[in-house]
Amino acid sequence: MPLVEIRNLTKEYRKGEQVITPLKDVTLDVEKGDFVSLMGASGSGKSTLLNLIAGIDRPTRGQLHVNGTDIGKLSRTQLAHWRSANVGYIFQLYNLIPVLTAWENVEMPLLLLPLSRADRRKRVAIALEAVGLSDRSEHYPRQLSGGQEQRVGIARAIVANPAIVVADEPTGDLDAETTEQILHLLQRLNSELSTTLVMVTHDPNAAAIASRRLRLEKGELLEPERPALLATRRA
Amino acid sequence: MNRWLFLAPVLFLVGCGQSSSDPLDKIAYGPGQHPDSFKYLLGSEPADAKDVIALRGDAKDGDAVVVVGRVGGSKQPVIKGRAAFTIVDLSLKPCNPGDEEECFDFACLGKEKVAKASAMVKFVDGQDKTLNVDAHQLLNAPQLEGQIVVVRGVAKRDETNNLTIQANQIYLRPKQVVKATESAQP
Amino acid sequence: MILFRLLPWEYGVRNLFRRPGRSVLTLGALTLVVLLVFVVVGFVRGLETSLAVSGDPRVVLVHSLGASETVEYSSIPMGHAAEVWSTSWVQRRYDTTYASPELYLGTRMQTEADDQPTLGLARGVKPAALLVRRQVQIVEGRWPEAGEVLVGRLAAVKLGRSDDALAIGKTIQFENRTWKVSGKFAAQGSAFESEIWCPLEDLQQAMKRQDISVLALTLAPGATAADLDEFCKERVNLEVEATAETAYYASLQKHYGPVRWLAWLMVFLIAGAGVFAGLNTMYGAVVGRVRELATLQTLGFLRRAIALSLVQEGTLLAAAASLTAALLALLFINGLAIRFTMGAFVLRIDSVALAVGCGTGLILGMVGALPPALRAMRLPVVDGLKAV
Ligand SMILES: Nc1ncnc2c1ncn2[C@@H]1O[C@H](COP(=O)(O)OP(=O)(O)OP(=O)(O)O)[C@@H](O)[C@H]1O
Ligand SMILES: [Mg+2]
Repeated sequence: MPLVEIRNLTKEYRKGEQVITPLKDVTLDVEKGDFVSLMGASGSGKSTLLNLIAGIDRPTRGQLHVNGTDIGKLSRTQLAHWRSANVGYIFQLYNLIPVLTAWENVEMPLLLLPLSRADRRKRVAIALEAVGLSDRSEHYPRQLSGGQEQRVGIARAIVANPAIVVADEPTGDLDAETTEQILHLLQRLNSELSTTLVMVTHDPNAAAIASRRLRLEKGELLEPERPALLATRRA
Repeated sequence: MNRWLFLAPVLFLVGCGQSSSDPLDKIAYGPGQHPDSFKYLLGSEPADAKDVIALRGDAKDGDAVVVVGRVGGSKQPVIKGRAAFTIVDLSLKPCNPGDEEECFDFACLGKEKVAKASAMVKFVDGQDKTLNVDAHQLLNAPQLEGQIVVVRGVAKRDETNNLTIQANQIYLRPKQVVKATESAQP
Repeated sequence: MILFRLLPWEYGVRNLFRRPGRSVLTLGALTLVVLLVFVVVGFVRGLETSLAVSGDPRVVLVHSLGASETVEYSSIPMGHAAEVWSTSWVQRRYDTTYASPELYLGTRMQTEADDQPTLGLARGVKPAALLVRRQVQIVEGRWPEAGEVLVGRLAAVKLGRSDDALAIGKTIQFENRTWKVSGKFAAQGSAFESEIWCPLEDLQQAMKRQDISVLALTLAPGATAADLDEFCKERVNLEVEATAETAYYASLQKHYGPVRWLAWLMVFLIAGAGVFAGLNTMYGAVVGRVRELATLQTLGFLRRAIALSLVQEGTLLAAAASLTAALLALLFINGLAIRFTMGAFVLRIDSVALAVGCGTGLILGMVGALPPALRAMRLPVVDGLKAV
């Protein structure tokens, strides 16, 4: 069974009479260990799909199983609990909590899990080590560079060892050199820790490091390199 | 929590309700719950009762007397915790016309006039000591103030002409409300 | 029992230092509000104490029939008073009887410094007053002799004058006489403290009166107020009645019910203003933090945990304000003398006042933080993440 199993997923926004459909009838499977990149024009529905997979938004129609749970059917509270155990989210603007240190930021997701203080300490240390920021654990976000902030963001996303990590334009706000470092880091996470990754990006170079490359066009999903795969699944 | 907030005004109202509006309070009390009340309360009014002023004029120490009067003469005519109270002559006019039931201190008449029309009534034990029980309780009359009573007892006079009646028996005359309910009948 | 995981405590605390200027401003506003609440509650408590402390359970007051609540209008001939204090229910020791005949009145008084008289309270007393009025203690100088007065600790305040105006050796005029101050007394915060005491005979002569207003008695062991009341009412020619002092002051307190309600209304209004200060700050705190709050939800924190953390922030601020205000109140408001119609009394910041003041402060913080917290939580997570 695939880690992410999407069948005929549709998302609509209603504003009075007007209906906007950012996602139309999308069908997609993501296997455990996949590194999927998602490209497409602005407004094509990339973030919408990512947020649905991450369980912070809910579909209008269709089925959405992630890690064996039909998350379309969970209540808001259940969804929150589910997220804390299953999803890591990497934001374009890092979204670190400014009043907490790097260490405390990374520790946040662990506070939601039944872990001892010692366990939490161990895991935070490993996560910070993995992103190469062990020496910056006591620094506040404002004392870090953009690239460092994003590495803290990545550490926070992986620290709870989630089933899937999603990233919405993780390098969208970084310069070329830093982008390179972040992409390298993501690739290592995927290959060394076999973390399942779904990454939205506008950058073809970024997309290139992924093992599967998808495109969204006006709410419809295409897989240029493996068109048959999607087609058969859709049928 | 909201539920309790709704209760607050209700509690407030209950706390403010000092005067009982139970119409039963206005009607005389029959022999009631105090164990000794049956000894003192009479079921019917004794005849030949004298007024307080008349009795102050001619009663001598030790005379057996029957007196009629209204419990009153001050704001607290009933001595707190004692089987003793003052009564005043029925001829005293209430301070406001139609106030017969409420007006019992007759403060507007002046102390002097009230004093000349007052007597004390008390229930005593074998040693002539006033019983240590509140008259309201002893006579089962929560609203004794303003009540017209007919008392049978023994007159006691002192050197300054004050009159005290050591009561043997008492009759509480029913209040006016009874008449009102009768007239309400078709 | 915690059904959901809370945000770390440090999050709330450090958020307060995020915009120190705003936090300090709110702290100031809340402190002011709580301080005002302290003033009002201190006022009520002071008033209550001045009435309550005055009641000694062993003291009975004898006054004219019908004058139980207006002692100024009470008049008892000395002979009648003597009949009452000769009874066996009055405390005696050796050859002293614990009976204090007193002539009490409100009258126009003028200190040396004044060109206008003001209304003061005078009480003509005999030395036995100190036996019966046990709370009264001479704290300075000595008992007054003929033509002298002993002034209460707050008498000057009652007259609207500084303490110096009634210092020992100074003079004061009332009832067409000039009286010299011989000493000062305290009375445990009771109403006596706003009075001026002078020898009974002097006052009677000055006013050309032979009667007294009230006879205060200490009960003999085993005697009760009812004994004396029965005695008085049985001798109707005396035209007096006896009331336990505690009952007398309880009846006075009833008259101040409206004042108390008014005071509570003020507490309410002031607190209302305080809520706005709290609301303003917390709205500010939430509006600038929408994306951050959405991020916390993305991580899996429940909306109620986040709302609770915001309330925690507000409460923390309010607690700090309450503490500051309590400190200021204890230092500067407690014991402050206040002039009031019936006399003077001091503001009292006692445990009740502290509880009410700090309680109000804390509630302010909570109530002020709730609406913004709830508003922030209504926004869907995905929309919150897009906020700048
Ligand atoms: N809350 C909303 N209400 C109405 N329409 C919305 C809402 N959120 C997104 N949309 C619409 O859905 C469409 C897809 O939005 P989405 O954010 O998924 O685009 P995107 O592919 O991530 O674009 P970008 O590359 O610019 O981030 C857009 O047309 C957008 O206007
Ligand atoms: Mg997007």
